[in-house]
Parts: sequence; C-alpha cells; structure tokens
Amino acid sequence: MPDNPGLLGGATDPATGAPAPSTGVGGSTAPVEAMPSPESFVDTSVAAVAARSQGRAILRRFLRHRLAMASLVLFVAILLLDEIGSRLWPYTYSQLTDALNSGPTGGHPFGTDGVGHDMFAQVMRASLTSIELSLVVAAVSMVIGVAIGALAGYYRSWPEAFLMRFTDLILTIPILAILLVLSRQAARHAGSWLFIGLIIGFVIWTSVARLVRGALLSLRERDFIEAARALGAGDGRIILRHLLPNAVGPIIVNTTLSVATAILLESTLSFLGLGVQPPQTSLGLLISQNQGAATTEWWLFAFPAIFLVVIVLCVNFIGDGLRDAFDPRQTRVRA
Amino acid sequence: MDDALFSDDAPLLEVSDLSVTFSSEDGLVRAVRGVSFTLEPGRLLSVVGESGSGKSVTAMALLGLLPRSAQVAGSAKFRGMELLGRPDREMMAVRGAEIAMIFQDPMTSLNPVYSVGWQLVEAIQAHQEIDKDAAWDRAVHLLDTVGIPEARQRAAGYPHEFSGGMRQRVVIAMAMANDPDVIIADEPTTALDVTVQAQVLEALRTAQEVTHAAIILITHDLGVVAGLADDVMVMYAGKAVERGTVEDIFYWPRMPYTKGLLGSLPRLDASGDERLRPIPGVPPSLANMPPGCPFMPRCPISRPNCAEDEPVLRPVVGGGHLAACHYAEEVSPGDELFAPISSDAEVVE
Amino acid sequence: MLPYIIRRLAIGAVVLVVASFVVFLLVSLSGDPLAQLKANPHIPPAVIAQRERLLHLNESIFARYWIWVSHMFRGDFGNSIAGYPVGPILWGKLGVTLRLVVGATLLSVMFGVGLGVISARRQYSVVDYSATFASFVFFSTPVFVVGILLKQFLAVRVNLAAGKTLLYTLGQQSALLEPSFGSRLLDYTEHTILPVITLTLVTYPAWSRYQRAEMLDVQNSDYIRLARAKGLSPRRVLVRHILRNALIPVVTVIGLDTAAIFGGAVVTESVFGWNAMGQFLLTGIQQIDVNVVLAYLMLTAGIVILFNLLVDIIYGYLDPRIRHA
Repeated sequence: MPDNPGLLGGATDPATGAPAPSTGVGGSTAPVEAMPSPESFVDTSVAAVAARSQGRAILRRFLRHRLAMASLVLFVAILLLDEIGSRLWPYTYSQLTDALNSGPTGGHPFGTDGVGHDMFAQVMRASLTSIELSLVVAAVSMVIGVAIGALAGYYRSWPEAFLMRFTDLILTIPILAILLVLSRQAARHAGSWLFIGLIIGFVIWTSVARLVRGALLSLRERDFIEAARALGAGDGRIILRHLLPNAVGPIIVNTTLSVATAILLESTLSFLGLGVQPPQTSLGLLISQNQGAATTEWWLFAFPAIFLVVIVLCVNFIGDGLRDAFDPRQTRVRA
Repeated sequence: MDDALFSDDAPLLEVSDLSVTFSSEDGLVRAVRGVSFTLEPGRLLSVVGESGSGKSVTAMALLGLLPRSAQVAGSAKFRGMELLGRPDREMMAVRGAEIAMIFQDPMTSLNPVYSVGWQLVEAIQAHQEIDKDAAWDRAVHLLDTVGIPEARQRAAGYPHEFSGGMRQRVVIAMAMANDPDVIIADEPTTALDVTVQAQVLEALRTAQEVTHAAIILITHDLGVVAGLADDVMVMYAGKAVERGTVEDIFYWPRMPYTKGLLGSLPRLDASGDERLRPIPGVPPSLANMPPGCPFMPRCPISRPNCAEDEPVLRPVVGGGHLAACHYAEEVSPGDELFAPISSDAEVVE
Repeated sequence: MLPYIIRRLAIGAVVLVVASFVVFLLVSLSGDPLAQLKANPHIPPAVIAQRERLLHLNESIFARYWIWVSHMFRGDFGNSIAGYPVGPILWGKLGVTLRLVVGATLLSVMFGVGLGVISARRQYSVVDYSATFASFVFFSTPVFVVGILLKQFLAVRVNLAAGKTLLYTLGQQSALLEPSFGSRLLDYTEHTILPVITLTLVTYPAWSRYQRAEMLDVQNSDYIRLARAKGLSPRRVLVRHILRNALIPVVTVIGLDTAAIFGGAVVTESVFGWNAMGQFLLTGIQQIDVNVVLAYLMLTAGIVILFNLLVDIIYGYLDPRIRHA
C-alpha cells in the first residue's frame, strides 16, 4: 500500500522482487531455532553463490511461464521477419507497384494501397521502426531513470527534489500533451524517428527512477550496507555493487513495460500527425493514413493494427512473466 | 446455535486423526499427518513445535479457516458436533461464539480502518442480539478487563494508535466477547517484546478466568508453556510426537526431540557451567517425506530400523503420557543427548 | 487540514509556473507563427510588421512570457494568433471535453473496480482468466485503434439494426440542435456514448488489475482471517472489510491517472471529430499559437491538481492512518 499517497508521492511499489539479503549473524530469538544455517553468515562468496542460484531460479520460473515464453518467441519472430524478411521481399516499403488497391493476394499477402504500396513491405518496415524506436526509449529511460533514481535514493537532497518535482509535472500535465509540444520540433528534423524516441525517453524515465529510489531508500539503512561501509567501500561502489543489484528485478520489469508504453505513445503521436513523418513510416502512421478504409479496404487498416496490438501485447506479457519470475508471491501456504 | 447438535456428555473438543494436505509446486505438502487429542473443559493445552510443524494449520483447520485448496481429513468434534467439512454458513455460528481465536501478529490482526471499539462491537453483535450502545459498553468493559487503561477513551482509537502489546489485548478482549468454550491462541506472544509477553499472557489468563474457556496455546516457546499449561502436545513434521501433562513433559521427556527442545532452553536454575544444547540439523521438508521417523536424521539415539518404520504415538510408563519413539524407554531425564554449544574461546581456537 | 491544502496548492502553483515557462519556451522556439503569412508575396510588409507588433514578436522572449503572465493574472488567457480571445472559447470547449472525461472516468471506475473484485473473488476461474486477458488486450491497444473499430464496426451495426442513427461517430453534437432540454440531452448522449466507451476501454484495464491485486492482498491479510474467525458472515467480511480496505489504494491510482485520461481524450476527440479541447490543443501546436497551447495546459493541469487534492482528502478520510495534520 502506498503510504505516501497522491500526486506528490506516487504509487510506486518499491523493491518488489528485490531479493532480501540475509539478516546477519546470530541473533536468533527463538530457543527452538536449529543451528544457524550457512546463509546466515555474512560472507560475500556465499552471497554470490546465493545470487547466482537465485538468478537461475528466476530464469527457470520465467521459462516455465508459458504465456510469456510464447510471447517472447512471437516477438523475436516478428523482429526477425522485419529485419531479414524485408531484405528478401521483392518490394521495398516506398516502392510503387503496379497493383493498385489490391486485396491480399499471393504476390501481395497484405494487399496494396491506392498508389500501389505493398502493405506487407510497409507493415514490416513500420513495425521495425516502432520496435527500434521503443528500444531507444527503453534504453534512454532506463539510463536516466536508474541514474537519477539511484542518486535520489542514496543522497536524497537535490536529485530527489528534482525527481519529485519532475514527477509532479509528468503527473499534472498529460504526457501526450508534453510530447506533442516537444515533437512539434521533430517536424523540422524531417520526422526523424530517433528524435521521437529520444523525447519519449526523456519524458517517461520517472517510473524507473521512482522504483529505484524506493528500493534504495529501503535498502540503504540495512545491515549489509553498514558492513560494506565499515569495510571502507566508497559510495559509488556501494551503489553499483551492493544496492543496484538488489533492484535489478524491478528495473528489468519496468524497462520491459516501458517498451510497450513507448510503442503506444509513438503510434499515438504518429496518428495525430506529430510523430514519425513520411517518407519514414510507422504503425501509427499507417493506421492514421488508412483509418477511413477500415470497412472498405480492410487490409490497409487491419494488418498494421494487428501488428501493433500483437507486438505491444507480447511485450506486456513478457513483462508480466518477468514480474512473476522476480516476485513469486502467488503460492502462499501458511504453516 | 442448534442445541440438539450438541451432546452434554461428549468431550468438549475431540480431534482424531486430523490431517491436512496442500498441493504446491513441489508436490503434495502434508502439513498435518494424523493428529489426535482431547481438550477438557477449563484446561490449558499447549501445542509446541518448530515453525512448519503443523501447529497453526491444525488450529486453522478446526475453525475451517484454511484456504479451499487445503484437503482436510479426519474428525474434530466440538461437544459431539463434527466441525470438519461443515459449510461456512454453519461454521459462522461456531467461530467467535463457541471457539474463538487469537492470532500471532497483533500488528496486522486488526483492521486498520476501524476503531478498536467498532471492531469489538462487531464481534459482539455477530453473535448477540444487543443494541449498539449496550454493545459499546460491553466492549469498553472487555477492554478494561484485559488491562487497557482509560478503556472508554481508548475504544474510539484506531489500531495504529496502540502498541503491539495493547493490540494483542484488544484481540484477546475480542476472543472473550462471546464467552466461548474454547480459545485458540496461536503464538500470541511471539511477535511481541519480551517485556510485554508476560503482560499479554496475564491477559490471556484473565480471559480464561472470566470465560472459563479451555485454551489451546500454540507456541514454540517452552518457557511460556511451563508457567501456564496443564497439558502439552509436542509436534514435529506434522505429527504429535509426545503428549502428557506439563510435569510429564518437563521432568520425564520420552522423545529425543522433546528432550532437545528442553536442552535448547536457557534455564535460570542451571548451574554455572551448563550450556545450551541445540538440536543439530533442520526439520524435513513436508513435501515428499521419506518413510521412517522424520526426526531420525537429527536424532542421537536413532538405529537403522528408524529409517523404515515411523513410530506411532504410544503410552510409555503408563498413565496418559504418550511418545512416538521406538526407544522411548531408553530416554531418561539425566542423560544429555545433544552436544552443548561450544564456548567462544573454542571457536577462536 | 487547511495548512495541508494550502501547502499542496502552493506546490501545485510552483509546478504550474515552471511548466508554463518551459512550455512557453518550447512552443515559441519551435518556429515562426507568421511563416505562412511571410511566405505569401501578396501580403505587404507593413501588415506583417503590424501583426508582429500585435503578437509582441518583436520583443524578447522573456518580455513575451511576462506579458502572458500578466494576462493570466488578469484572468484571461490572452489572444490567439488569429486575434480572438482564447479564454471564452476555451471555457466552452472545456464543457464538451468534460462530458467525455467525466463519463469515461465514472465508467472506468465501475468497470475497473467491478471486474477487479469479480476476478479476485474467483481467482483462477474462467471469469478471472477472461477478464485478465481482456484487460491485457485493451491495455495493449492504442486509443485510436479502439475508437476506429467501434466507429467503423459497432456503430454501423447498431445503427443498421435500429434502423436509425443511435450512435453518432462524428462531432460532439448535431449541427442543428432542437432547443428543448430533453432533445439536447439525448443528442449529447448519442454523440458521447462511443467516445466514452473508447476512452473507458483503454482506461479501465490498469485499474481493474490494480483492484484485483489489492483485493487478493487484503483477502490474504491477517485481519481478514480474524474477521472470519469472529464469526462474521462472508458477505459482511467482503463488504465491510475486504472491499472497504481494498478500495483505498485504488482511489489514489485513479487520481494519478487523471492527466492520462485528458491525454487520451485528445486522441479520442480526434478520432470522433470533436470540436473540443483536444482539437484546440492540436491546432495550437500546429500553428505555434503559444497562448492557445498554454491555456490548454494550465486548464487541464489546474483541474488535475484540484482533483488530486480532492482524492487526497478522500484518502485521508478513508484511511485513519493518514489523517493530514
């Protein structure tokens, strides 16, 4: 439950899935307690082994998550199709073929539009743009989010103030409106998809940052951090080697989900005419161009829309599977 | 409650061959594997064991509070009425009214959004036809009885305004609200500060005096048992491994495990050089239990046949004292079975 | 309570000031609003110079910001590039947009909370799985795809079956309105239903997932176990204890999503061709009309801040642990 509700606190769920380090030596209050198990000694080698086997357990749980695995396979298949298929395909996305307004046929499985574009080539190219753009967003937002989140969680003071005020801003003004204003600039940059990716990344990093901050806030007072500090570890080392590894779960999950958010935002910007600009193309742009054809030349609308939804759905399922793998709280048996 | 269901000469609570199984990722978990005991009116039975030994699950099974996925078998009769498998609608009349329960963690046992008085009134009105004001007066009276100062003012307070010990008193007051015949207290002091534990146990004793209820006190702390219990049942890996009066258990333990528990308990009357003697090893996993005595891997007097036959709970030296060990007769109070903790000097070498 | 409200409003005001300045810079620097005018060879330079004076384009950017601020303090939003006052037009459009936003919020609360509760009560049942899958699909679908599908398929079918137009797919109201209140209300409703459903379908999934998770959390909590052990009826345990507690965090999430709903409304209005705040913002951005863009942002941000304050007050009322001192 968020204990600091509302606009200015934010409903983060900090440190979910962050593996809890052992509590330390001795100190068992229960007289019936058995002999101390090996994990209860602070020993980096033991901790490292524990971390490695924990990593394997997470991987195993993810591999067993059927929906997430199927989504991962499908996502990779789409990516390969876009990357390799578009090179082998006889038509390029901008090429005008002689078939006008043709429905799906053997030569044009997704049909063609009114000026003869092959929709299959267009959809492959558009989904590649959308995916690449979203990966840029994920990378940018993760780097900024982890850096500012770590500084805010460890040092508090101005990075935290900056993070909180920026978060307020994001939660007060519709993200879409901010992006629309920013992407107005993109029109001058000849609709560079990279620019769109960067601005989305610069806006949506706050959720990762707040997660990292939350995780670090709860971890930094723990005994093992005290121990590391007593051993003379510097701040940088403590943050990188001791604190951030404990927040890896939430960071990975959140970054994955930000890929989905990015694709949705990009397609929306493009739909409104302020995202990716022709001659480049993206799924949102294709849908926007063909929205009137949904009932007549259905293929022009259906294929880009299906690709868009399936890609985002896959990413969301993968993110969900990762979350379950990092935070297996579902099976609770009280004994 | 329909009185025809009860029979006056039946025992207050008679549990026979109770078993509870959960299914988990690792296969079937047999949390309770055939537990039997009888509770006499006004007595205090203490159920002792490590966490995971099935104590709490046993208690939850009696009130039908286990998740639906749990498979419960055996029989538990309250005044002759079978509790197990009874539909929720009917169990409602038993819960809180005939059998009340106190849980381990007072910090999370009370609903944070209602005042403690409100929650007590709710408990009272669940089973008694009584108007709000009278119920509130009764709630205040109950709070006063369990030792909450200025009960009338405090009743309007919310749980987060109370300390852990005070909250546990509120839960005890709630358990007393409908004069139950049985109160099950599941580790009522474990989550509390040592200094507060005694006060809460005192409140529990008061509850027994006022309601004349029989109490099942679940704990892993033999120190708590010594001063309070009439009878003791020791559980290990889902089974009762020793049962008897508190004297039987403390002075003539017959099961190596019980002896181990006593050896790991600090004693004030011990002579200077006596050290704690903990039990080595850990309890077995309840999923895929091997045959044989579950305590065998940790037992200092085990012999090869212990790995094949699981001992049953059987009378030793007559009377009501039962133990589940093939070699119970060889366990005598004088011998120390487990090695003492080595002193600091020896660790350093 | 009052100091808390004042403090929150003060923070909100600071956010607004910073946001307005940043947006002012971004929009102003994104291009020359008179570019089209200047490109037209038939327009004499004197006219352009006059327009530049009227729009204060010949002054420094800080001076222009200050002019905007002074307009704000006078309670109007300044004039648009085309020379008409922004304020009155915006207020009219706000009413139209609120029809959509308020309708979608209410419907999403009902849908989100309702489905979340049902899913949690029947965890791992067919209902739960279907609801989960549906929320994942809608969560993964952009607003405009939902809108286009409803418009092109649902509306056409329904209207065909009814034999007349029940669901309008274009505009926020009919061009020729009958004066009577009843017929106007009906007309508004017929125009608003599809957009509201569109915005609801993309808003409710997150809330229903959240409600479900919260329900499961509360259901497994110790105090629910104690409530059952007290002998309360399952219904009372559900309504007075589980629901009462599980609703608290969801209220916060709804507050946090307000701005996002306004964002979704921009797209929804665009799909359904509404002449409302979304279209106002989009044209403002395209024409580099600073006063229009800022007016939109200030108004939505102000509403979001006030709504969140309200949510916080409700939260404090629902949860005695958080009574604002």
